[in-house]
Order: sequence, then structure tokens, then C-alpha cells
Amino acid sequence: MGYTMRVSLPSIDALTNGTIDQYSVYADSDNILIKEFSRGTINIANLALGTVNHNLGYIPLTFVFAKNGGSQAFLAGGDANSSFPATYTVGTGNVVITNNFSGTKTFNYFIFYDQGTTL
Amino acid sequence: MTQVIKVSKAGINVGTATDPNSFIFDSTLNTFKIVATGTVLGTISAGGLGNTGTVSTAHGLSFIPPVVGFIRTTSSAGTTILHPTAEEQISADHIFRSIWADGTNVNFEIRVASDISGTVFNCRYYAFEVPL
Repeated sequence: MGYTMRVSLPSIDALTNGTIDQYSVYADSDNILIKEFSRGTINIANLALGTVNHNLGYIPLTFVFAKNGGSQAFLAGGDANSSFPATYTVGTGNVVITNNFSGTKTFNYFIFYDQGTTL
Repeated sequence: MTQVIKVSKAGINVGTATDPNSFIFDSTLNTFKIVATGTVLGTISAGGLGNTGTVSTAHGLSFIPPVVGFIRTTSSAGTTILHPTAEEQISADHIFRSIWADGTNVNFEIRVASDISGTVFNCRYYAFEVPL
């Protein structure tokens, strides 16, 4: 028997087998809660690369966000011709972030234990 | 003694497992939380090939959140779900260039790859817990 942990949203009976959107927490072997491994910031100069080592030995789920001044935050990985171009690649040992903005930018990264992909 | 809550995956002993990936939930590790989500419908005027516009919606948070998002378009060819990516990798009529947040809104930057008008974009965002 598989194990599950569920916490329903207000007014929803947690013991009733509802749809996943009726729960604030819905976790089982098929619905894993993503577990944070590390987070941090890195400053990268214009047209330069920045590397964050994770050394997990596999490709983890990773989010990278680019700060533009103190008022905007972009999800990196968008179109290179967009307003705020920055990309990142995730390997089995590190995350490499490319800054195609004008000027040095601060990047926030979040790396999770959960696999981003399998090869 | 520190008290924890752990739920292991099927077939794994919760009392002896040490690999974080053996668990569905582990209270010693932060679970990245979605604090807000929403949808917005928007259109971008054709304006000729290459026209770019932004569809925005308020996130209701008191900080600039990290956001991810997806755009769905429906045409006679079917439904396409877009994720921000490099321009040359998209063959649809529209390119989802970027998603970004400020202190008030979540913004979807869309480029028209062909001179068409009237397309309605269904946009959804997920905002996470950590102020940026």
C-alpha cells in the first residue's frame, strides 16, 4: 500500500477522495513535494557566465531568477531577444548561468533534491 | 531530541532511509511553496511581424515573487502550451519571450511571429514563497 499525506483546503473533507486542487498538501509517490537543496545569489557581469556548484551527481530541478534593479525579477531561460535575456544550464555537478543583460545582474537560484530530468 | 515528520516513498523504510529522494515529504527540508497563482486572458495586437506586447495581472503579494508561467493558445491547429524559450525553437505564431514580476504584477512578454490578430492568450502563473 502506498503512503500519502494530504491536507485539504478549507471546507473540504480531507477524507473524501477529491481532486488534487482541493488540497493544500497532496503528496504520494506520484505527487512528490519538491525538497529544497540550496538557494543563493550570484552576481554575474554582462555577457559573462556564473557557476553554482551542487555536486549532486544528477541533474536537479532548478529555478534561476534574474533581478533587474530592485523592482523586477525575471525567470531566466526566456527568449534571447526578450527584454531581459538570461539563460542557464543544469548539469550533474553545477548550474551555469549566462548573463546577456546590459550590466552586472544579481541572480537568485533555487536547487532542489528532486530530479529535473533523467538521461 | 528534534521531532520530524517524514513520509517515505513506497517500498522504502522511513526509519532508515537517508537519501532525500527517498521521501515524499521531509520536515527537515524546505518544501518550495506556491503562495499565489492566477490566470489572465490577454491579446496582443498584430501590428506586423515582430510586434511585442505584455499581458499583465496583479499578484496581490507585498513583495516581488519568483514566478513561473505558461501560456495556452487555441487555434484551428489545436491547443499549444508555451513556456518561455528561445525564439528559434518555436514554430507557432506566437513566442512567449519571458515572464517577470514586479511589486504589483506578473507580466507575460509575447512576440507575434506572424501578422495575425485576435488571438486570445490564456496565461497562468505560479508565484513562490521567497521575496526577491
